[in-house]
Amino acid sequence: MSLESDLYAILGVSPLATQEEIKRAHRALARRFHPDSGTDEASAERFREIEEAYRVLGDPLRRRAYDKRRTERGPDDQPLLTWSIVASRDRLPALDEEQTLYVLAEIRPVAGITIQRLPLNLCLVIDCSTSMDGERLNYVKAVAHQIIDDLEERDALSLVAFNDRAEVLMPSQKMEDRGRAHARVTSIWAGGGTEILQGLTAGLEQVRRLHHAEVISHLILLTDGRTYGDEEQCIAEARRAGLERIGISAVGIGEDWNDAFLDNMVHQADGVAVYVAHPQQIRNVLLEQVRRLGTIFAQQLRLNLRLSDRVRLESVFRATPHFERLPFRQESVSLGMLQSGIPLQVLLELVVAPLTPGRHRLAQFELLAEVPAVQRQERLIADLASHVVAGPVPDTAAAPIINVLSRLSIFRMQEQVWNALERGEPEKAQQRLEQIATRLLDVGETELAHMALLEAGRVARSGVVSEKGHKTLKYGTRSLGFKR
Amino acid sequence: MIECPSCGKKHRPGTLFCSECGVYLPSGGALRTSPLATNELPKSRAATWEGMPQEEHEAETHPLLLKIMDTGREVHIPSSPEVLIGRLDAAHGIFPDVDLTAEGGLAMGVSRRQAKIVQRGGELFVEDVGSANGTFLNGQRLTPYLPYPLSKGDIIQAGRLRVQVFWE
Repeated sequence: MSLESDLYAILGVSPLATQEEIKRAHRALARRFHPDSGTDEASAERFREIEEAYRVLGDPLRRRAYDKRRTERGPDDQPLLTWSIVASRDRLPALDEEQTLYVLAEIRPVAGITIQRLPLNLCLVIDCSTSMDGERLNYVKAVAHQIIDDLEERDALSLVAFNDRAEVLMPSQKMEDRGRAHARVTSIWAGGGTEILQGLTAGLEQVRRLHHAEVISHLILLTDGRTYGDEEQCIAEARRAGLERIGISAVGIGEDWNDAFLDNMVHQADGVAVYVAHPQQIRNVLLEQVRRLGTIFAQQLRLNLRLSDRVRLESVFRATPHFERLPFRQESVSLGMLQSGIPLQVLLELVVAPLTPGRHRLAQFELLAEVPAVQRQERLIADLASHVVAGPVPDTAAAPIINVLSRLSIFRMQEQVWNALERGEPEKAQQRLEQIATRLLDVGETELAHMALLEAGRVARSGVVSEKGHKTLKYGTRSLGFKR
Repeated sequence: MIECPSCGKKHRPGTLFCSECGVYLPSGGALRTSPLATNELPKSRAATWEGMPQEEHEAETHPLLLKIMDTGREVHIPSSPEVLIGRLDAAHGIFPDVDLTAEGGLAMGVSRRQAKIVQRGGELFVEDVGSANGTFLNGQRLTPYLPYPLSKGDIIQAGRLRVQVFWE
């Protein structure tokens, strides 16, 4: 079915939103776009659309019927996505205590399907605070010039520079006049502080101008500093952008930016945050981000779980293209986007309560995804069942699960270091860092292992880690997900 | 609950990696293959070595069927030019294609890297890759790091475990 007329998109809410959330979204939009609202956004057509969407979604019965139609497929439509689901054990021992069961889901485009690359609608939001002056800004400008040259004519680009306030260097436009874009990049200069909300709202405004269902709209924020006091608003803006299918990614340069905040912000809008230690790396990292946008196969991936009452969900991790702990709410997890060349691996950690011998259905998985190139919503369903047996069950698990878990365990130990430091337990943090170093050496990550040992020593002496060490280990162990 | 052999932290059964120290829990802690007494291994002269053909012409590799004789488990290997037999040790990045952990490989004297089956020019060879207790082909001890030709139904012995090899 067409996404352009997607009622959820019109109201800017998730297909899993509660009735209350739908009601609230409707009220806010109706007020904003009402023809008599007196604002410059007033639009009779948009208002009619909003009212029509609410007439259906606001009524639970009509909504259910609409949901059914929304995910239905014609008999001729080939599925575009496929997945495999493997559990760490296919037989479970009957125990009188809880046990852990891992499930690895691997999602990929159906073999042989190629889709054309959609036009990009890209916005670069560049931090021009004083600290960016010199080498950092020069590298950013150089790569901006290259992006302008690399984009195709059907792609659109806008440029926003910000410090305490934002300036639209170049409004959103197709790449027909590259000369103008180059001139705008050259005019960037540095000065002032860092207020990310300013740049973010100005950038999103530009992206929205040319945003529609058949482009990939994405905002890339480049920053080297912390924003103060506007974090909450930035997250809210990002969430809104995410619901509108506008992605947000970030490149953090140097040690002074707030990684927890940027990670959270980009997660709201299906993007990634990347750490750049040296200005020389800006070029490759940014070009890779833009290249990645050209390979988007599906977006708005969401995994819904229906668990048996004997099973609960303990944690969810994404394993590719990098490790990430995924927050879940009411057994529903947002997985972001799927690239053409890279299968998306998701690892679930389930806890199974004692079961009697026999066959048990443990869970049902539902995957929802949008394939923007063909304007289709995809839906996959799979069941997980297990034989519970009285005797002992061998400890061996499927090799792909062990492979993912062995590297994920390093990433999870790293999480514990920061938690221990936050709770004021430096001894524990130091011990963890030493164990991480050992494990990193085992898997051949000598440089990261060295960094972990350095930071362990620093914690022993002063009780804290350096920002550089923190970011190197966090973003370094995270990308262990993509090795091998 | 199960206990981490390395740091003692308690985990739910089924947990695969210790959250405290990252150790692979089913490994049982002991990672070194212990030497077996000589009377537990076949008494024999060394197998004769015929060498592997040097010319590298492209030929199809065969999917393999390995029967672990002591437990009857069958392992199907899709065609692959090299198949590693051993015990899985995730911490050290050793992921053998044929993992004998479940057969009590540790107690049976199987090394983490025991032997490999190589396919070259349409023929199959077995090679000991420096195992602690040696690899035997039809009861004859292999010189480490030399490939010996395999025939269908041959029995490879790793420590005390015997594996019979078949292919199409």
